[in-house]
Amino acid sequence: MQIHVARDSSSLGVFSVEEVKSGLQSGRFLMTDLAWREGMSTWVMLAQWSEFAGILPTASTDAAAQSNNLSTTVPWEKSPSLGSYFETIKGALLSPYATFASGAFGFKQYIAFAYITALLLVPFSIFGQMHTSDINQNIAEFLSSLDSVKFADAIRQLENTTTAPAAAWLGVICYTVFYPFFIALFGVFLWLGLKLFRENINLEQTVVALMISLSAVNVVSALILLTAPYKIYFLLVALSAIPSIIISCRATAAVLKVSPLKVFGVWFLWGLVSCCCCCGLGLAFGVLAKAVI
Amino acid sequence: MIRFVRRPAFPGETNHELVWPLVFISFNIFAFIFFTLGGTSLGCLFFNFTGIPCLGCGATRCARELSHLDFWSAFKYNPGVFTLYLMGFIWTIYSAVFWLRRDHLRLRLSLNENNRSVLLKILFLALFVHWLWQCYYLRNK
Repeated sequence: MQIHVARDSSSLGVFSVEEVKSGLQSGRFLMTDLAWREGMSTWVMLAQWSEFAGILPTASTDAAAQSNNLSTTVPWEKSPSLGSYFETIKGALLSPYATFASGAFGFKQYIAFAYITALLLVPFSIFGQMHTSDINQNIAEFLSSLDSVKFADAIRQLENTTTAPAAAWLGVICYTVFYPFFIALFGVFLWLGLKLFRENINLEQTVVALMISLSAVNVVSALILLTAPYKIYFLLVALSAIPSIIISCRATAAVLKVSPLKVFGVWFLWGLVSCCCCCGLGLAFGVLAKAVI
Repeated sequence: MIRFVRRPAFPGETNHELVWPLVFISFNIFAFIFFTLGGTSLGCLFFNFTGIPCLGCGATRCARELSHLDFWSAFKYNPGVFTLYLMGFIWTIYSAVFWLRRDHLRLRLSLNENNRSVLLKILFLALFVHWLWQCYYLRNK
């Protein structure tokens, strides 16, 4: 019968009794690992299984040492307030590895954090809406100015799609209300991508990492929303794209204790799949090319 | 053999019965707001420049057709996204039943390392078939 093995909130897989025995001998499995097989009502440590009683465990206290590290270095976790919010943002921008060296990173604790970011963005979004009659028409106008026949279809599509002003205001409200949950949605994508890179990271921590890093990027780039003419807006977006990616990947990686390149790799892969990357990069290069020429 | 088992969750295990239904519902809210606001994509630049569809081509049109409950058209625009959406829907229904029954046994795939590699091969094959379909359908649309 197959045995399911888990350690530190991650599943290690399904193995036969022989595989677990040899794994315990080689140090692949620890006696403190949890295991379950059909018929059992709960997960039990391998040390308590009669089949593995005679096997000498490989000494390892790494897991215990890791779980004993309960102190936090994150200002927001020490005392949630507006001051600690900005301290955390500052840490994410300037010294992410020192700021997020250790912490609990629980989703519930960071909902208020994400809402502060959403509320800070509201005045900028409102200003943007007051100066933007129809976002689709603005983008169409901008693309037309690039004089490329390649955009003809996109321009036609955008011109045929009009946005009601009331709906745009509804967008600002919904974005603010659902902000932490939209980030959580993208957090799940990041978590899935990291699994592909064989990084077994807690989902909750991944979502929180994204909440912190995107808050840092959003707070810094909020001023871009004040730029009413769309040509300037796109230019600033294009110019700030690379610094934003670096800030975001560094802060996310610092929270998750993984390489920033892996975080970037995950987003790049998702970009390839969804093609957002192609559109974003295409626009950025288009704007830069136009600005230079 | 790849099969499903019903087992208790281990301490700290991701609550898949909570996470994926929330993702599914959030995605629907996001899509609803996006289409209500008159949102549209710029079209795929990769497709525009190369004439070859990427794996995500047709996803927005698929989502739009799903919001109009035209399932066959949605499937034709992007079978991959449609299948993911269907799986999300089925998992949400299962999760609703799970929470209503206050069950403690959770449905999970039982995969050893061989099964995992077989499943990966099937997935890549499915993606390739999906892409071949896109090459046929989206280029002749």
